[in-house]
Amino acid sequence: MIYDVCVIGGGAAGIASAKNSYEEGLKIRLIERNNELGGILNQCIHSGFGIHHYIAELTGPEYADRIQNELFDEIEVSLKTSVIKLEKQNNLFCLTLSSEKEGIYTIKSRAVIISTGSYERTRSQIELPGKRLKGIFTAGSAQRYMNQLGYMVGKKVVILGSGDIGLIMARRMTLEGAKVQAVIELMKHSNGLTRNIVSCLEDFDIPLYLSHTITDVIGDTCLKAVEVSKVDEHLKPLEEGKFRIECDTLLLSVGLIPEISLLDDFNLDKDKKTKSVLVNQTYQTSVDGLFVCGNSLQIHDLVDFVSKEAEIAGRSARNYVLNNEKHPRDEQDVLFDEHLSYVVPQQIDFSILKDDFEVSFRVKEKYEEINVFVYQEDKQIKNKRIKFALPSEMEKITIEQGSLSSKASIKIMVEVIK
Amino acid sequence: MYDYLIIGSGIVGSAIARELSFFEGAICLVEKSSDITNGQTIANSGIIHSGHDPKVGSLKARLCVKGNDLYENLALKLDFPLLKTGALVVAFTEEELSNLDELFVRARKNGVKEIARLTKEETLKLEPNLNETLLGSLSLPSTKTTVPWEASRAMLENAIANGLTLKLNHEVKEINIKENYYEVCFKNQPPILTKGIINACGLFSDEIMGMLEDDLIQIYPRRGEYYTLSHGVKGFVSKVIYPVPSSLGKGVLMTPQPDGHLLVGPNAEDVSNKEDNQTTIKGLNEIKKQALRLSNKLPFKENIKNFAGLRAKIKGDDFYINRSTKNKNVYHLVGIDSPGLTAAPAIGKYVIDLIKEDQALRKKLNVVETRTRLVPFFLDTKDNQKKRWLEHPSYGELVCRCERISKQDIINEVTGLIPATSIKAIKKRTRATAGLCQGGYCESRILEIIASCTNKELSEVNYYEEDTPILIKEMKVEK
Repeated sequence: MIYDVCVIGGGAAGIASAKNSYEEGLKIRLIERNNELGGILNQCIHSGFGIHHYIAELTGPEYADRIQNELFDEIEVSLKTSVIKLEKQNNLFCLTLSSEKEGIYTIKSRAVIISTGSYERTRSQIELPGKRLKGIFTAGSAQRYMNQLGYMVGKKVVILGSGDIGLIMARRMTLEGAKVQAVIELMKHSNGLTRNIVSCLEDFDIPLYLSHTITDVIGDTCLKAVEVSKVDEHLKPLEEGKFRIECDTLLLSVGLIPEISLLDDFNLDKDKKTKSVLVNQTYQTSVDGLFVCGNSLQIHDLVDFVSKEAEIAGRSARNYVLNNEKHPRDEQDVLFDEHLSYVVPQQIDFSILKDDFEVSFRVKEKYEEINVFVYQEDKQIKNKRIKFALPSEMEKITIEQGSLSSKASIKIMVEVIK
Repeated sequence: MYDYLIIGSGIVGSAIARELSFFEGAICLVEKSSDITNGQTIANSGIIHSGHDPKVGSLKARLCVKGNDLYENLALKLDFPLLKTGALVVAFTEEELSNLDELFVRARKNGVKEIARLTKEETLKLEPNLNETLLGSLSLPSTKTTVPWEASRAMLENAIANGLTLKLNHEVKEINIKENYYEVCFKNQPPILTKGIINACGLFSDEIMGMLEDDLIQIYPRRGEYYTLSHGVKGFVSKVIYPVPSSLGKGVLMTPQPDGHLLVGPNAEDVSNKEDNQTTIKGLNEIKKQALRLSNKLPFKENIKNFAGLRAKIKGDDFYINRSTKNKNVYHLVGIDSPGLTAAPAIGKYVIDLIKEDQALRKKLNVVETRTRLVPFFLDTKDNQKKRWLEHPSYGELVCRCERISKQDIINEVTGLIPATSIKAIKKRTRATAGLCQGGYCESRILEIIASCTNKELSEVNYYEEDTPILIKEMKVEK
């Protein structure tokens, strides 16, 4: 049997894209390696999910539950199933699957949506020196151990990196009786949402050391202390003023990286900043019929935005299958100035441009107020004023399809007001 | 009462155990760690050197060249990974170029075969990612790389098949010299009686020697740090790339691993403590600096793991492998640093020869000389996969996505001949958690598998050694 759309990864992005790719008569399959849908939402038992999407403050599992309930029965869901290989042969994708129940087998599909999420940066990727001790975790692993397996990982905690998962875990471990000694952040600003800084650190009097890093981990086989150093403006650790904090646990919350290893054999160009592949406004990659969305495309701060992005990817895959959209592309770049670190999508395909679309971006530095302009061939087509633009918070700007007067590239420019 | 007690389960102890297991007699191998090969064997470059570096006439030179010769056949017999890379020693200055001539002569004298001098063009054609500023190289086709702990494990499993008793968590505390035998005492374990002792415990063999002898050889630990670049860089270099050696050692190398990773390192730093195996900002920066001299295109961004290993240096820079001058049937192996991995199979035979000079050894009638490794499920052929999955459906469940390791692959090791019951032991046996995400997804799953196979609580499963549980039992902890 040939599927119309196969969605790989059953988290928030996978569920929304599977749902939106469906239409009567289409065969959709959603493939998830775990024994339940919902992905990382299942271990995020704190609230704050769904404020935009459902106008309600839900916990991760509640959000996962709601989106699952909206899935259509006609969509075939395969749990405890991994995709171990993805290839394209002629016009069809060939997926090699493996599961305990069915062993290794292959299926074919006209379109594929990658919604495989992300993985956490590890201690080696930040070159954290010291011994390989027990007691050093990525924040997300510790979150899984606590919230899904029901076990504490330690009693005296230091957190490196002020990303959202680290902040959430600072509060979580405190509530479970651990002493969170400090959060250490390399940059001069936090990488987490402001609301998390307030409700996870300030409310619990947990000190946040900005412009600091950990320069050694101390212990024999288990972690006993960390050495903290101030860094200079080039982020290099300074010798003076080093200090030690005793702890049995170090959580690393130092960023997420899109998990797109299934695409390795396609040898696609990557965006240096997002560390994922390039897409157009339909979230289609340069391979016809291959779409990417959610954290495997760009790291999101809010699941609500993931759902929205995935809905578009799902609809785009459906349109691709229904309209047999394999005509030559007419793609132009979405350019941006030095104030931004990246944009998604990176391209516009004018040959299939039928709707308004959103461009997501992040600023490189913290600004109190900025004016964002979108230009096409020296003509200003859009303007948006943003207060408190932070690198840690993804911004979006909608480009109205009618505002594009030609098939030329567009450029996003920032005017700093404060 | 054992005939021989081997102390240390590193590559040297393992090689001796295998050779000795072919002969009559009861042998036991003790290891202080909770798993085999947790010392020097787990943290080195994994190179089977050709033998261009050791001093002419040294024991190192002799055993290195002989060991290199033995590896290919051994890897076939014992089914462990061996990558026939070959190596280049690359010169970047006129002085280094003239040193290559010396090395060429030294390699010849040491008995290295097939060596050749290559021009700049020939070198760059073989390894286009090297810096174009190079002037020439020495080619050493017999250099290979292996996974040292896999080679070691293979030898031990083979020895176990021939009757070796392996005891983990046995740290020697004291040795009492009795008439015609020894009483070896351990930390938290009952003593073991043995007629002979083979001291092969790497960095700590000087301490064991101190328990038995009046004369002492001191070990000076020397630390080497490494980068491990992910399989994404596979093919960046196809050969082991050495700089021209200096007084501090062989220098920072690039070493393609059988699993596709690329090791970059080591630096060399003398340290005072045998447990000082931490990586340092200074050390890692030094490696970068030195490695960029070989190739400025090296993608350090692909780093998935830093580690450091200690080498057991002694004065005189040669292996010390000798019988005790005082105690009967006691043999000491001290200062087995590089090229110890290469030399190990030859060391095994060398020790047997020493023993044979002292007493007659009788070969067993039925000796097992081979051992097979179960191929990881996802690397097996389609037909085999089908068969294996029908027998054990857990093969179908992918646990480690980065390295493609199935649930059954892990179960096999937890319940294997040398049971792997910690996260780190599973990593060593299967490579699960050794990939890009370093266990971010699979570590908790592996923990559950180990606990279930060993009937333990999750909080009883160790990360590494004894008393390193990853999880604390109760969810509410005392303030």
